[in-house]
Amino acid sequence: MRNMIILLIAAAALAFPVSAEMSASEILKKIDLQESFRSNYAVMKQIITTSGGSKRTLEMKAWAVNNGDRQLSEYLSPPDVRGQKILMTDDGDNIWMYNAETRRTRKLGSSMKSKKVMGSDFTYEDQNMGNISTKYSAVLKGTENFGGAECYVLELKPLPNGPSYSKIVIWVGKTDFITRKIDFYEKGGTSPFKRLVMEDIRKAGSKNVPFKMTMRNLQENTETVTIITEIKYDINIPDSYFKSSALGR
Amino acid sequence: MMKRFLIFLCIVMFQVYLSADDEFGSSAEMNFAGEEKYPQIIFSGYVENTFSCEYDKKAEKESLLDYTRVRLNSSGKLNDNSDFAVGIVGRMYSGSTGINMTEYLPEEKQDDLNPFTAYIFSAEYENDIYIQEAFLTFYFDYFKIRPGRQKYYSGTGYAYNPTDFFNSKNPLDPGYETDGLDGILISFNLPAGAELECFYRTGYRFEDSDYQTCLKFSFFSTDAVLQYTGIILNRTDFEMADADAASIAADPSLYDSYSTDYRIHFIGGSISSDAAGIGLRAEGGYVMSSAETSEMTLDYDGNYEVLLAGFDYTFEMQLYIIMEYYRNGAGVNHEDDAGLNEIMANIAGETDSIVKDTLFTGVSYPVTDLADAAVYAIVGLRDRSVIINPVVNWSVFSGGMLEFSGIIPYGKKGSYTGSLPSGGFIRAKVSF
Repeated sequence: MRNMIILLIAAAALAFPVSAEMSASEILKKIDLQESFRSNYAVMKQIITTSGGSKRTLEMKAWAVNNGDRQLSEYLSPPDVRGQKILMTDDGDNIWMYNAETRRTRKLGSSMKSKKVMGSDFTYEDQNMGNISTKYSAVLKGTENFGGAECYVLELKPLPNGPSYSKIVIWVGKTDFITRKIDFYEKGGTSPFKRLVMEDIRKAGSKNVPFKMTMRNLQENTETVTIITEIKYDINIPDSYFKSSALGR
Repeated sequence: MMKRFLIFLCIVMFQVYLSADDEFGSSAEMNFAGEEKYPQIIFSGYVENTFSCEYDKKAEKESLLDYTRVRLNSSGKLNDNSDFAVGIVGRMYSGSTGINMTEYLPEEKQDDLNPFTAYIFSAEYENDIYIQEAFLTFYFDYFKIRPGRQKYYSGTGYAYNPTDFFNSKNPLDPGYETDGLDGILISFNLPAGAELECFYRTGYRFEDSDYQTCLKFSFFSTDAVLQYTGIILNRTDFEMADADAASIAADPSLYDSYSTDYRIHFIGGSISSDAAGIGLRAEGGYVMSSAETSEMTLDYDGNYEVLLAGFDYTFEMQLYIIMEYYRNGAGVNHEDDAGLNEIMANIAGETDSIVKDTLFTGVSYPVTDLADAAVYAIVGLRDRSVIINPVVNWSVFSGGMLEFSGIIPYGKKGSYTGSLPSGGFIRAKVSF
């Protein structure tokens, strides 16, 4: 009888290897809490490697408030895109693009969310992850060491009206709840077609931030490395920054 | 009129004075986290070369034009409350620099022309340097003022903007930049994110000036604009000028007597929205002409409606589609109904379509990481004429672009579209 109980306990432990730990939804909330911010300002560099091996470097500055619910980015270089601005509000449901050369602002259909931004491997919706607990349902798949940190591995499926991916799998630190890797799956895909790896995690004010993000398109063999060169949190950003009519300012 | 305008100006300037005190006092807050350092002045520009080729089926000859354009730009912010921009453009042409508008006419209409008409409807591309824009903007709590030469647009359509009476747009190259307009823009911030925008373009006198007022607001995922425009347009009576071509050839100043300025009043608006991921756009309204009936053959004094409605969508495979229907109430039903006035007005850029109902449609796809291929079509819905426009954009290197654009017209033999030359252009551009 005693052997039977031990066997049952062992079987349960095998079936639910992390049941003693946090639930998937609790982990998602912890991630959202870790990544939440009132406002931030960042200067970034994006190095795009094309399938042919050539490299492009884009530089931009970006402002965001309410966890990225409203965000504005302005390209600083190269010269052909200098001054172009992209404004996203309502968690990316509304997108406007401002062309500095023609001085025209154009509202884009929200289907553009799945389109690559400026030839990079990031789509508009990748730039607007927001609160993932409100966009995905999660299943905890286990734990794994990644990038020197013990991580929870979660499989996330989009909720109705959620992101366009069929699912994403994320690796998130067990102690700091910082996302370190995301695998993106297309509809009908059994293996990931894109992979985002976050590195160089450092303190920025009171927050831990990955200063280097590498998005690889595993199908097209392209890569975009985003490096944050400056970031500030909890700064005062006027509301007028996020008005489409002010893009030409 | 003058008195009213001066009173208005005084009120505005008083508001400027009051707001200036408020705003400059709060500039420390705007200069958040100290990351904006002033003055910020940027020098930029581009060099662009366009090689175009047209093949005239009627004359069985090609026509080549090489066009180089240089733009030097400087823009910047002096502080949180003001900015400026100056753009200088230089243009150089070589090759077939003489343009004879009558060559674009159907053969039958060419045959009917006065022998002197080809001469009076000719023009020459000349090298020039000019200021494309030069403006400064002052920002205040509740409004901004932008005097100077500035780009000013209306409408939400991609290929056509029937609510934009200040600029002309080529649907075969709709994204190309236009020149600035000399005027003053005042934009007032209203509650709930709305905005009242007034634009005034200076004429010889107040009664010759152009003006536009727009109320801009948003609801749900929709940007909306209500618009009133008063503007003086110009049309040429080409039929009368053709009849009197010999006299005009002898005394070119007579040509102006066949050109008529007339004021229109436009009430309309535009929206830009989104439904289930589909981008929706519409603009339109009603044009009322104040022209008096003249003895000329040109019928420019009628009221008419304009409308554009369209959508675009990006599929997950990155394929982009766009479709726009354009209704020009001043157009003719069928190309066969178009006389010399209607066709020449379109060639001269006085109108943007000959027929009433036009469809613009296209697909675009990123064929490589750095190149997009697209095919657009302009379809005359009633006469089934079509102009096919294949376009390839290739980002050759950072700051360097190559663009190929073809123009392949199809239409009934003897029709305007059927008589248009085939051709296209290759454009190379380096920005700095």
